[in-house]
Amino acid sequence: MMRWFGQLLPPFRRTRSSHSGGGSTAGTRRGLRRGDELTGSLSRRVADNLSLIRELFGDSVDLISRGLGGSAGQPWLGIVYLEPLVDADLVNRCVLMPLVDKVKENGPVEGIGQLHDLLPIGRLAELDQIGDLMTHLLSGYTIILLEGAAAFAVSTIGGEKRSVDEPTSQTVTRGPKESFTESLLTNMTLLRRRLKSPDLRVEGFTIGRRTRTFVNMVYMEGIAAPGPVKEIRRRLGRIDVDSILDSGYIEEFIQEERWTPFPTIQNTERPDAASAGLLEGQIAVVVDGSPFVLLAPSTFVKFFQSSEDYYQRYDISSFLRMIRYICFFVSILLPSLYIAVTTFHQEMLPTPLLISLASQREGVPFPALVEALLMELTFEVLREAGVRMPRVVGPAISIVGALVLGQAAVQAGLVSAAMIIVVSFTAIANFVIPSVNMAAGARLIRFVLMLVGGTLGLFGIMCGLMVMVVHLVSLKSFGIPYMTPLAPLVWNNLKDVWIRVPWPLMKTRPTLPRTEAAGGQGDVRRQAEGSEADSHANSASREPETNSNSER
Amino acid sequence: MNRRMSRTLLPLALMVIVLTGCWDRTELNELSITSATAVDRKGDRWVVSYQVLIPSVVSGASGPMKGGAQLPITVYTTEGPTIREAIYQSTLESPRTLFFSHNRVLIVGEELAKGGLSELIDVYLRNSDSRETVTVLIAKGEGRKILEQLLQIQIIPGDGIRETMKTESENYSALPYVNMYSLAKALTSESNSAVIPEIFISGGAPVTSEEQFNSTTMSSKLKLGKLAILRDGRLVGWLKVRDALGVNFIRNQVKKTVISLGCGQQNEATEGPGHSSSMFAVKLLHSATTIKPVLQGGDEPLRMLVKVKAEGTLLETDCKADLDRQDTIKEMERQLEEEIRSVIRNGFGETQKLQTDIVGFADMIHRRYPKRWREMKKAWSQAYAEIKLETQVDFTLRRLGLTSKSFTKLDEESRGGEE
Amino acid sequence: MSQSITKLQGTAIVLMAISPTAMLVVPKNVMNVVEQDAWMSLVLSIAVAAVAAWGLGSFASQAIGGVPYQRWLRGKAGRWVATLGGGLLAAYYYSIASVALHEFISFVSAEVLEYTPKTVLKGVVVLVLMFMAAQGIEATARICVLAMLAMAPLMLLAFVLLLGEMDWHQLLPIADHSWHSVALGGIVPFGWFSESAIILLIAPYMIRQKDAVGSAVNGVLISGSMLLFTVLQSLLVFGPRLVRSMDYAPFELFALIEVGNFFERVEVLFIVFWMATVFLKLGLFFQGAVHLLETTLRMPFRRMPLLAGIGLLLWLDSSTSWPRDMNETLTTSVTTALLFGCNLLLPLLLAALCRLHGRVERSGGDGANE
Repeated sequence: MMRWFGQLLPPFRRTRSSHSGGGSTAGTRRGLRRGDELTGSLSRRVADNLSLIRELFGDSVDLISRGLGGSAGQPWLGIVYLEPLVDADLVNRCVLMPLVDKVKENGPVEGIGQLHDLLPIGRLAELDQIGDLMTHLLSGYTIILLEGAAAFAVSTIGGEKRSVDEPTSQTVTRGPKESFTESLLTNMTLLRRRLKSPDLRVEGFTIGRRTRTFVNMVYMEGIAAPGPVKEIRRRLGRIDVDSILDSGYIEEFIQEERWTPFPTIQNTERPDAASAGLLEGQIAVVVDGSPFVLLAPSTFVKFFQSSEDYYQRYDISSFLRMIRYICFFVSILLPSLYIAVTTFHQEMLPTPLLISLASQREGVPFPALVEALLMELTFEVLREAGVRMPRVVGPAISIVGALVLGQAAVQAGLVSAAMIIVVSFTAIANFVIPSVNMAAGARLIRFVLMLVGGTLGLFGIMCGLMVMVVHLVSLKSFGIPYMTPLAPLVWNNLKDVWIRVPWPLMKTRPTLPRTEAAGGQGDVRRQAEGSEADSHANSASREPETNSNSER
Repeated sequence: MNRRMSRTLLPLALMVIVLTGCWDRTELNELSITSATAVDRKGDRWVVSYQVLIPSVVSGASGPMKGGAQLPITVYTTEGPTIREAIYQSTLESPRTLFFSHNRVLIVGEELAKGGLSELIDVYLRNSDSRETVTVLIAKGEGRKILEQLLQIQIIPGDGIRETMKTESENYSALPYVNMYSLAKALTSESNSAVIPEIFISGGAPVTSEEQFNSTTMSSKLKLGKLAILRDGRLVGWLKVRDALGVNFIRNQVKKTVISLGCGQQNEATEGPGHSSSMFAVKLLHSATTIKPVLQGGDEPLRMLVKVKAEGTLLETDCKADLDRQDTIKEMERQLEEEIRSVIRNGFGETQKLQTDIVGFADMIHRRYPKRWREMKKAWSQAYAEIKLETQVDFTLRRLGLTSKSFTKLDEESRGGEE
Repeated sequence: MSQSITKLQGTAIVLMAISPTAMLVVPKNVMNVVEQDAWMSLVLSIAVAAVAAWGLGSFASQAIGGVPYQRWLRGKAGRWVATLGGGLLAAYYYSIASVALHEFISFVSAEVLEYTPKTVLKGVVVLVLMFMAAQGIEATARICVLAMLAMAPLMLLAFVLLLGEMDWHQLLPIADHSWHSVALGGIVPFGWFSESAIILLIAPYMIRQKDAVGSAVNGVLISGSMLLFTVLQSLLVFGPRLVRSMDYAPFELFALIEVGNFFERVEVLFIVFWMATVFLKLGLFFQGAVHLLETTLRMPFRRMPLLAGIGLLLWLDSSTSWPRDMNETLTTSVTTALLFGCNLLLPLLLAALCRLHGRVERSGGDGANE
């Protein structure tokens, strides 16, 4: 009695949550250290527990609670669930029906043993803490309260969710067209289906005091280096925040460097890309409620690899990959180069080009730098407007924006035609970069380089690039230098950077450079020896260059 | 710590850069793009003329300006005690700064050449905005008139002049293509001499206005003329085109050229005398010259062995000789070899008259016999005038074109058939 | 700092410490003495410099991993020697950085940006140098490797594009000059090659100290061949006489490149790449100075307030110590003397003192490591 009273008083005390009771088939999910945790144990009386739960929820309409058996005020059995979160059919068929039948047979259900045999549901957990009960209830479990015993939670997770659809942002022409959804379970399904290996380890976290979002950390044991695994585990465990509504939140919490325009963590909507990353030693962070899965650690070159590269032939893939790198530089440098060359280094232009540009500039009121900034900002506005536009109006506005605005501006003599071409080409080149966050970084750098290029010409651009390169070279993503394999130079890994060598030649996985943080290598052989089809396959798979203490 | 540092340093750096403003920035519409320059001397004043482009007329691109200039160039002249001061005096009359990086041609006046080119070359080497790759040409009289001439085919006359020079040196190879740094190199070499091609206006006054411009034939045109010879930086004489070709053979600067010869002996052989007015033309496709100096005893004059190896094709013939026969071909080759030898001899003779070593013999001797050279150096001009040249030409007629018999011959044969 | 510099990075560092400024200064100086035999002087000085690099590298390879140069010296030769040596070297590296900065900005001002005040340009460069120093030697080493790899195709490109302008006869007559002229001509390049002494500072941070020898020698050989290449090209295109008056011969070379009618006057592109290498050299020397100051005075010069202090000093010093840009001969001879002194004599002296001290200590008592 007193215990129960104590539970009513401060319902939100910060203590450690305990793990749910043993003997369950489910793995344990690490909850929060601090936060809104309820303390106290459950009483052994069904009626008490029922009223406690109802009170905690403030008698919400969607909390369904029923008592079975016994008398009206003293049931033997209590069933509680939250209607929006459960699969009603499952609850009725697999929980209520067997229990109702049992109660009809006139007898309280004695202990766990019988319950285990009664309910045809896989996941079943025994609880005796209020906190655990709430967690499970809020996750879509049905709570079964037994008189004289504690409580049980059975998994009846259901409710509406989006079906597996095509990815919206990272589309390919050839390759799988499935995309992650907001449901953690579906996402895990998609991953497990592709990586049918027992080495695929999944560790669970619950992050967010109010949202209690389930976050899974997935990696391939034996391939992923232990250092980053440990580090990500540590950082995920350290997050203490109210809400996690998207993987973007997690990304900002676990990323290493805050003051950089370059992303150090990839995100992907595609299960095949995530699986490929897992097979290369990356660690995936799957967040419930977000279709974007994080992949870490990520190096610079990974942001330029698209899944399509591996599904198409190597020659076209190599060509397109080189175009991507060129487009990256174009999207950073083109406006600033244009400004620098036309205002500081006019001698570099061929004479006809110079004359054409000069005649276009007659009558234009702004200096080149101002003109460029103006046009770039206008384009960013147009781009943002295009994102917000309702779909029906969208195409019309984009045509209006691009053609009419640009053309009219030129004819009014406000900007020169060459500037329009430069700005549009820069923007188009920006879209070629496969990963949106890298493209976003490029957009920001472009402005900085424009400013320095406009003040100090090519010298300024060179200084700016120098700063950028020094910065890139000293960035680390979970202990791995960001510019691997370019700097430090790892010859073996260069086979997948500029070009993509044909599959039979990709015998080893990209090895990590020799850093202490990496803590040794996993298995580096990508192919078994028998899988090579060509005749000169006598050489066994190459030894990795660096130490390979595969920790198994 | 490193992060904090980056955080404070980077914005600082950026701010500094932006706050400083831009000193070196010149917008495109603040430039006076010069495509040709002429430099001359009037007494002890330097006279510099510029041919400045007007971009909106030259390019086809849109510009909202109407009215204004209709002709692509404008020419004006400034004076000063030194070249650079004359250039900066242009700021007294021009709204825009002169931009020389696209300057294609430099026309040197005759007066200036007579006085010495060293100050001019110094300006070009010392300043970063003057390019050393400008084509150098010489003009008799005022250089400014050359700049005022409009060209019909090429809208930028400066470009046009340069292209003319390039095409000529590629296809006719009589006048060599001279740019500023090769001029500087030649004047500082052992021979201390250089050549500059001449450009002049044929037909009188230059075409400078629109009415004269808008007809299918212009009353005056730019043409390349003789070759000016400079010794010790000063103009000493001129060579005709033919002699210049001979000199070019010795200098190994002949790329392609056309030589016309009378059929002469062949026709006499087959038809008898009196038919030597027909000619044939051969195009030299490839020519290589090797020169060997031969030093003899103390007082004997120097001998230079010049060996030319050339090959070509037949372009045109009016000869009646049968081209299928080997000896006809051999005869033609022999005639050509003789012609080339005579061209070389005449050209060389002219330079000997001027006592100017423009063929680079001085450097060759210096390279081959460095010790002897040191003694010969002082009296080189005299020694040069006494050099005996021995030429050997080996010419091969590789192709005859598409037909073998000349049309004259065919014509005759068919006529002969009718009779 | 961890030991993470590979042999390749070490080579690249030595290369970047020698080439950028050497490329600019050497052609003119050597051709002033020996004209068309400049290449012989250069070959001679490369050979001698390789031997010197081998010596320096062996001295450096005795370093203990992770222990900075100055502290190691202290261990081997005693406190006073180490402090004096460290101080001298710090002053040397700092002054080379200052001189090189000044020469660099003079060049940029002369060729590229005429009206921008040199002070501003120097300020911008110093800011970048401070940023580089804050990130550590590893970052600089990585970029050196990238620059080294990019240099090869660029030089090849320049060579191919200038083939038409080259005249092989300019090399004749060979051996026109006496042996002592040739040797004299080789002194200035040798002075620059002795910059490979930077390996002494780098060696403790290499993965394997023994690689120091290989790095130093390879660095000298590569930069030597690049320099030879540049000198040959200038010789073949311009001839010995003309180059004697050109301040910046290699860039005059690039100014001549013309491909068709559209790829002309592009020497600014090559200049920009060269500027990047100069940044690296300046970065290396600045970091060298900072590192030596840090270990000699035991103050955190790599961190913010002191780093800003020394950066400011460099900026002001470079901007105001040179009232006139001229007086070439004085600069060259003083610089050469300085290079010889600090790169060759000083390490030699230190090595000798180490040996001496070691002998004394061994006979006296226990080891000298602190």
